[in-house]
Amino acid sequence: MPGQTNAAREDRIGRPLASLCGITKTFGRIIANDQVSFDIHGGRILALLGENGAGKSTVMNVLAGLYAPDSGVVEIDGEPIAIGSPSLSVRNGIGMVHQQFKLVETLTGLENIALAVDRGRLMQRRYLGATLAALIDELGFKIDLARPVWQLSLAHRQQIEILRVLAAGARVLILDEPTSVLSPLESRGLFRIIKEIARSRRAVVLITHKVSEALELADELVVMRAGSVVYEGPAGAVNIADLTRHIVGDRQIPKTTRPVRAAGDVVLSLDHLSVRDDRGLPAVRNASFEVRAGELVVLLGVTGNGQSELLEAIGGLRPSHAGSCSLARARAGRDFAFIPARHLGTGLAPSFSIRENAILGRQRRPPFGRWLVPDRIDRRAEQVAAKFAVTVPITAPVRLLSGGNLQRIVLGRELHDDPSLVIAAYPTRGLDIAAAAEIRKALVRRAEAGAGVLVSSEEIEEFVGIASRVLVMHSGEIVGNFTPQEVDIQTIGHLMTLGGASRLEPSCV
Amino acid sequence: MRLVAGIASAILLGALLISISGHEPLIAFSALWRGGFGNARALAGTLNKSVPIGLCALGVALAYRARLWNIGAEGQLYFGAFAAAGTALWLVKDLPPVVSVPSILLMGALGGGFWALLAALPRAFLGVSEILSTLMLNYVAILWVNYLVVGPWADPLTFSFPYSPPIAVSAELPKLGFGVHWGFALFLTAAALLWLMDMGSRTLYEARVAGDGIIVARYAGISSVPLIIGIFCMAGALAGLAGAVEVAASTHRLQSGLSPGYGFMGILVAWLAGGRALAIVPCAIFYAGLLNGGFALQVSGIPPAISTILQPLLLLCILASLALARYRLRLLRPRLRQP
Amino acid sequence: MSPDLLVAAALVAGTPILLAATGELLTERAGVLNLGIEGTMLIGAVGGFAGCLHAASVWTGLAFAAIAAGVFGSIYAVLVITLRMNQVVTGLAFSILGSGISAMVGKAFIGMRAPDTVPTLHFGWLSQLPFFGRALLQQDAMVYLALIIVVCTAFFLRYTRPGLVLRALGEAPDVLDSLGMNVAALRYLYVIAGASLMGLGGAYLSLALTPAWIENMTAGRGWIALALVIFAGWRPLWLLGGALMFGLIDALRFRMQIGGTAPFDPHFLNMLPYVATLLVLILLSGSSARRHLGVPAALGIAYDRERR
Repeated sequence: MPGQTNAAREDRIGRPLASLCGITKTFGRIIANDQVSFDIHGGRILALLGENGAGKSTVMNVLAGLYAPDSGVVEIDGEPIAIGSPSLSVRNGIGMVHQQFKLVETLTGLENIALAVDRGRLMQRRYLGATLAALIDELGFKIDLARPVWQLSLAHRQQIEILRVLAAGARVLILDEPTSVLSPLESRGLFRIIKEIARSRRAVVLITHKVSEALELADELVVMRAGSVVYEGPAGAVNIADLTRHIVGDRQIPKTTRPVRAAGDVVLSLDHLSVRDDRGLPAVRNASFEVRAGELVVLLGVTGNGQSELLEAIGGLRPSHAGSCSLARARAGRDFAFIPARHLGTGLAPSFSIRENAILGRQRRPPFGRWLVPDRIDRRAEQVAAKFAVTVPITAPVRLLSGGNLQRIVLGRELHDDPSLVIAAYPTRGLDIAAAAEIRKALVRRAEAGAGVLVSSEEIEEFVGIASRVLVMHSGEIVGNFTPQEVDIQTIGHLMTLGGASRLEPSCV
Repeated sequence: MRLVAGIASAILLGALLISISGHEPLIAFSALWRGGFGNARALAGTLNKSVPIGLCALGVALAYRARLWNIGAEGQLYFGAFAAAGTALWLVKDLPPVVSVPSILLMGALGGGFWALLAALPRAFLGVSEILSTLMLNYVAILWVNYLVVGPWADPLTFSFPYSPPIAVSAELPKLGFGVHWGFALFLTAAALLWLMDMGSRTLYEARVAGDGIIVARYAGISSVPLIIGIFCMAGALAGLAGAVEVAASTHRLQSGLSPGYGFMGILVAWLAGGRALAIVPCAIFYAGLLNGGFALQVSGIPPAISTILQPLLLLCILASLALARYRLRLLRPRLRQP
Repeated sequence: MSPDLLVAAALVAGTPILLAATGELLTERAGVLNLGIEGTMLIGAVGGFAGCLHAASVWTGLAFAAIAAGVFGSIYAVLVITLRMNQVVTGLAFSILGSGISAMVGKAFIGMRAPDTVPTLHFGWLSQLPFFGRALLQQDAMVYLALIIVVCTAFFLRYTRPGLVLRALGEAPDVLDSLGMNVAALRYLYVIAGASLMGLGGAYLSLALTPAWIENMTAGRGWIALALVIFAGWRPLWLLGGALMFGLIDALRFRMQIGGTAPFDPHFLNMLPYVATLLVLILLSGSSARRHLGVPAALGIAYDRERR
């Protein structure tokens, strides 16, 4: 069986290293974790699977002391422990490596570790020290701790983070989506390290939404959906189809109205477009597709597979380095609607009021000239706010608005002059159900009125019911391009998490 | 309300400092007031001094709209003064006032704009902090003027005094009336122009967006580099104009110590006025009054340094009381953890 | 003009700048920008003079200068760390404030002589060595004290754990916060310590260099100290080289002005520190250079755990 050693098999019979019992955590009215319970065993790798928003990171943040749970108990070695602050968790041997590394970039790896570990010493340590050297040896790391962190690749930085957490005495190592910043080759290196760590009798919890990873590495699987645990068991005992069903749920394509208008002219065409991400690595590879007037095209994919970069490139926020996009960049500014993934700082100027944001991106188009007549701005702002019933006065600074209202302002502005092309990146992210439905309806209405709409989303069933066409993106490539009638949710789920090559057996290592 | 608290605490602290050093606060304050605003002559002097302070403040405020710090107003003032004096002494010497005076002022503004360009270019293209670069350029400009007035441009009639020969009468900025010169009208016009532009200028709107964030600017189709350079040079031009006005209206010659820190006072005034163009006018006049009052104190027994203390003290107290209000608000709000 | 006397004069001229620059270096490494160096030095100068007059001892004067400047710095720290006021404006205002307060307090001291001055140290026969003796080994105690302070600071930063923490403080205060350290308290410590050093630098002017109290006697040295910190890439040992260079420029200029015959005007010599710093700023602007020798990443930004 993959991932198990003799030592691990023995531990199986023994007591779990850590246990979560009935952890419940709410934020306002949102129930993030609902009576979550599972065991974590030493010497084994546990994969915590689920879609975005399932509650995986939240429950691990509770374990690591960043959140205090509303109810529930955490046990270490069978004894309940006090939780609620990071230092308490560290003292109990729980360590977490987040997606944002907590490293000081100008210091060397050794210095970063020393910062966390050498409390109360007067002199800086100059050398590795016996315990640290033994740890590195044991785990098979090959990093140069004497180089400043900014010179190191993200994979090496991650290794230093892991070292830091282990050197502080962690027996339970939690990794939050560790491969999201790694290339496939680097991910293999990480897998080797994780296996070594497990061999050393420590427990590893891998938070991930990538089924392939989980199956390759893990001994145990826990699947969460909408805040609850829906499956807990050994990795060998379940196949991919069942797993996907656990993650995605038994959901049918909902019967909602889909734009009935026949597809018209091409309003957007991409030809082998390639885009690099902020680190210079390829994020989008040879993307080619078309959007026609009257179509609502949804681009599905797990976050981090290139959708953001693709939409940013189309919208003009990011340059492409190969291929072409049919949109002309007019001097007078965009003549299509672009709703970016983040609002404050991208689609909205944070220190401005609603009123001033109402013309952002549109300030060079009629009726606005070199002189911005205050009355015209007021009128436009009122129209923008009214479009989706934002009742906050237009002089209010945008920084104070809720996520939902921010989205409504941006939508109101972008859809104001009936554009013929709408590009929307994750438009319903972080919104409650009612607001999300409102936005979907608006986008459908636009498509019915003859616009071409391109939407990116992480939630399969959200848009599949209303889409004219479905694109699936994985590792920067378009791996699927169908009409909803041609495909079912399970296949889409497969493509999103496994990419083009869909294997039906977990690989044996 | 917080504003009043700030002013009150400044007055109290100032009084405290004055009495600690052995003087009578009330006498000192009244002497300051009389020196700055007490009679027509004092008032005229104050209004005249408000011009360089105010113009520099307008420049600082303009630059800050794009989140750019113009700490170099002092240097831009000096360089503008140099350009203006050079024009007055050699280029327009024999021309009628209607040509020479505007030329001098224009050259002063261009000089200040050029000096600002030296900091704007590294900022726009290389991201070099304009705070540090303008600070350095300040002293280069001051030393340049110092060099000229004891060297090549020294007045041959009065050697060892660090100033240039006087400019021709035809080049002087005439008086408006009551002892106040035309520079004051310029200052008011500039403030009114900035106020007007704030209301509806698209360029200023785009500059503010660019100051709010590079990515937002890109989203809005705004190209940040020309805007940064343009706004910063405008700010420099205002300071340069201040220098030109000083040469043409007050000192009538280029001299060392032309400015007792107008550029820095301009920064204080810009912040005191919250960056608002119209508010800068009364604030500049008030600070000029403090300055003038300080000069007048020199003849009495009270140290003129009082005005040097009150100027920053007033700003600090007001800013502190505003910050204190924000701080208390934060302490009262319960800590919420966001998902 | 013998070169060894020139070097000696350069050391003396560079000492106040060196002290102030070390203070600003500590402050900036902690992530706080203190533009009030001029004002703080002047507070130290007048405070030192007053203390020396009162107790007829230069060491009391120096101690008083450090304390007075430290108090001045602590007010700055409250405004900028706890109240999170804008550091640029507050620093400039403090510079002007310090100049005003010192002028007012110092009015009583104009024309007076300090009763005691910093003793010159002699190293026996070493001081009589050719060149080195006259250049380096006949200085007053403060020169050596300043050198010791700089070397200790360098040692502190490189070899001690609190120094490691300081290095992280100006780069990534959020990391220290997440490790449970008190960012605000640490910043207070370094702002006040830095201000005390600036005060010592100012006191050196009024008690040793001139020695007397003159209004605004720092004459821009505070800004040169600021330039020096940038020029030295925020590294203490490099401050030594820079301070020596600036001191040399100061000494040269002085002699050129007196001498009358000079190959070029001394004013250009004075411009050199500022122009050099500007060039260094431009050269440091590349992103790899910035990492290596650069500005502490969190400099000038008030630390706010809950920043939206």
